[in-house]
Amino acid sequence: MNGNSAYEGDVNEVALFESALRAAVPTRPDPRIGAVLVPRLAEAARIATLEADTRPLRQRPRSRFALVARVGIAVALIPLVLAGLAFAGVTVPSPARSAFESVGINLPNQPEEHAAADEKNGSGHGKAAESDDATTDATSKGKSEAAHKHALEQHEKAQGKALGHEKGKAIGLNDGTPPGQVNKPSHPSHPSHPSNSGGNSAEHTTTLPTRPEYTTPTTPDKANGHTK
Amino acid sequence: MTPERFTSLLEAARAGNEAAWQELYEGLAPVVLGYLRANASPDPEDVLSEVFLQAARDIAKFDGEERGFRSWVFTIAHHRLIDARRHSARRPVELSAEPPEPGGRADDAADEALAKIGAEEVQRVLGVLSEDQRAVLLLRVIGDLSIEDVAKAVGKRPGAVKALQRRGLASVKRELTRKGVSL
Repeated sequence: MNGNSAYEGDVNEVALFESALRAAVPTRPDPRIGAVLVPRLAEAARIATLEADTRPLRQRPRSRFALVARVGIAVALIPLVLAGLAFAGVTVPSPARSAFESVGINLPNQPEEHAAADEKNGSGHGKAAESDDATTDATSKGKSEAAHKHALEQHEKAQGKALGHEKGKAIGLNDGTPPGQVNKPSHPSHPSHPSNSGGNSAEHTTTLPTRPEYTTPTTPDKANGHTK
Repeated sequence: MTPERFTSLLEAARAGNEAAWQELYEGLAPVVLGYLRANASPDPEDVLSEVFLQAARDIAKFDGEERGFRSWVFTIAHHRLIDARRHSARRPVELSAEPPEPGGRADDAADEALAKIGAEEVQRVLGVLSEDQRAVLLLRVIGDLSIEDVAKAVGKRPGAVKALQRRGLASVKRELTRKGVSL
């Protein structure tokens, strides 16, 4: 063993063993194996060489077919993806929807008013824009009314709690009314209209009552009066 | 064998010439079989057949000179040896029961060394080595491969192969000294 070994010293010490190894290890295989194996080796090599020569010719059409198949699969997946989105609740663009409708498929979870507006306005863009404005107003109104109702409910609930609080015993007051607040409730009464209605319609703001003035006994004089 | 002679032999083998394959087989089969037997390969002659069949199937891909061909065949042999061991993992691993027959490659010095140490002693010392050490030493000595070729065959870095070789040779020396074989 020589050449690029980093341990030439060790190698030289066991050179005798290496020589013995070279003499001992190689063994003659059974000649019958060679007689059977060699024709098979020649045949296998011939087939492998032929395959290697013809492989590039066969690969071309296969790769073209694979490309066409990939494109076809991608195109076929588009309507499936759109239908899946519609099932999931996504509003599909109207051209895609109309394409589905033209083949007699109505996609689920699509807004009705959009379809109605589309039908009314046809394909004109100006009209479509107007109808969009109208639908926006209608929806905002609806939202405003709903918010108003919700705010009223919240207010009623809050008022009920406040009244209950009035009836309860305030600490240290013993059902008495502090001076300076004889005719005033201990807590400012809530306005009859919600302040958090969320809507911005003018008709509601005109009916709002004015908020009663409230003075808290924070001055030292009033505090002294209270103790007296 | 001259490079030109080997190139024409390889071309003939690629074309499926039986005489060319006979020559390649006779030149490499004894050392490959010896490598397989010394590595305790299960059914070494079956594995030898598989090695040459794979070489025949892949010969269209091979491109190189005689030394590269030898290294390539030993790489196949090493991989086939690992496969054979995996297939017979349940069986206990032992060195070949058949005593090795001296091959035709041994020169006078090798014969003298073999007469001094003995074939059985060689087999016993090889049995002391770990699988990796034995594979590296046999590929280096029997396969006559370089460190880089052995590294490719066993799938390790050249530094790791050198370390395995050093430790393997140290074990061989220790064993021979213990048995009183003078070096």
